Amino acid sequence: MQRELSPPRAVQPGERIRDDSQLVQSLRQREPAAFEKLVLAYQHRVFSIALRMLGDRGEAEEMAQEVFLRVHRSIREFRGEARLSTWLYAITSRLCLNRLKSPGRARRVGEGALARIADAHANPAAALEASELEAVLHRAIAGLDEQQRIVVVLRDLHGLDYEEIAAALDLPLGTVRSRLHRARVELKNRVEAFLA
Amino acid sequence: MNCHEAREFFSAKADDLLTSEQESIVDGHLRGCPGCRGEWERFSRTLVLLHGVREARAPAGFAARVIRAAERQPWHRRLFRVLSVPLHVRLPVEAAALVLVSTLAFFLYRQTPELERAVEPPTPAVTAPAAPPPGESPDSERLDAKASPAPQETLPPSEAREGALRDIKEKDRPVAKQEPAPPEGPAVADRQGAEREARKSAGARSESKLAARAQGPFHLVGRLKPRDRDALDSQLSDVVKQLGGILVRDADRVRAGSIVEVVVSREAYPRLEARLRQIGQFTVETRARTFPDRLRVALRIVE
Repeated sequence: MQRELSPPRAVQPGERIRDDSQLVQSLRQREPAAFEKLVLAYQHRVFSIALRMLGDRGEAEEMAQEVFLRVHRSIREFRGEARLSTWLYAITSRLCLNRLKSPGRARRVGEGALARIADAHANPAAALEASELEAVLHRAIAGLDEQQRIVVVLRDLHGLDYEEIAAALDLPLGTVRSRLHRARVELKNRVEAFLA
Repeated sequence: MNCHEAREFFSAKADDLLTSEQESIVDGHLRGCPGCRGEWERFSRTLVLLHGVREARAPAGFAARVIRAAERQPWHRRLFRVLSVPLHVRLPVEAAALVLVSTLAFFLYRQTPELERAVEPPTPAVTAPAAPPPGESPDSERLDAKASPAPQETLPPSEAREGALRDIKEKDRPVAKQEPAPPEGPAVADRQGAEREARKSAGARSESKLAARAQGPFHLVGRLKPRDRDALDSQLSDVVKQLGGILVRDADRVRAGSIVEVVVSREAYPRLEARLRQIGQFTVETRARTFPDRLRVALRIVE
């Protein structure tokens, strides 16, 4: 059977920062230019993950800023065993999941964010990104369980490979595979239901 | 392979993670099972949609805000950054600050007679108290005069006080000249040395007290616009003499632009003010809430 799938968008090799080790070295030496380079390279990806996970632009911005500040503070703790990007995604994922677990936070994702995304045309910034079909997809993603959602966001929206996701979320590879599969099936069902 | 098993492989198939053997088994099942084939088509279409979702963009200015937040450094680093501002920025700022401070200092100097007097050299017209009696140091005399105000009510004329000041200076001068004289013997040298030290310290105390009195706070600052500028000096001198006070000029003669100091007793002040109003147009600029027994009055002579 002919493969029709396009690869996840963010796995394009050209998009990655290739000189990670040099950048890490410069970051460790507290060079302002290095930190600026890191922020400029990853700001949209980190913000996008936070937005898909939290569903609120303001909260996502705050979270993304916290991610970069953590990297800035603790770059010396980065051992270089994984890619810098993986470490960055790990911090982003962990912070987002912790935020979602915080008391009084559950309703916002389930209802508030869903309602906001569904009513995308009321928000000019969201309207830019939301075609009708995209809005459906966002609703479907926002409705996923957060453990499934982070896997889908990292894999299908940001193109991390399974090993990177396993490293970022500190999960066994098999768990990543099974969660991703269940999440995709769930998404398919939700999209079908929306479009029916 | 049944339908359930085949569908469990959908994700791995979509990510191209199946071995060739697994892939041929799954594809074989899909060819023979329309239900699973339709399910795979919907599954893969969903993934195509998902992969086409655009990445959200961080808000404008986000990177700058993050960088700024990360740059909040300890005070010594921030200070270093301020100091390392480029010269083309720093020099104009520093020049402007210098001009501002100088202007402020100038106006403060012009507005404050004490400061104006403090930077001027000691004036020869300073009037001094009465000459000390023989055997008494000028310093002890001034201390006595300060402690008991009654004798000061009958102070001698200013000319006599100027003479006393000259005497004090005369006494101090030979002491300084004797210093390089060779010693005549151990006992004599000790005695002369002790005397020299005593005189030197007495002289220093005397001059420092004189300077301190001249720079103390005024209890009243007033402005005097004389009717007769030529007669002003003698009129002022006569008034102060009659009231038993002290007149301290800042020049040989009191003229427009001068600042003079008058020291009078509290009881004599109303008469002084009345006489000043006769001499010219007298205006009180600042005034202490209460007057001590002897008060110091600064007079700014204007045209």
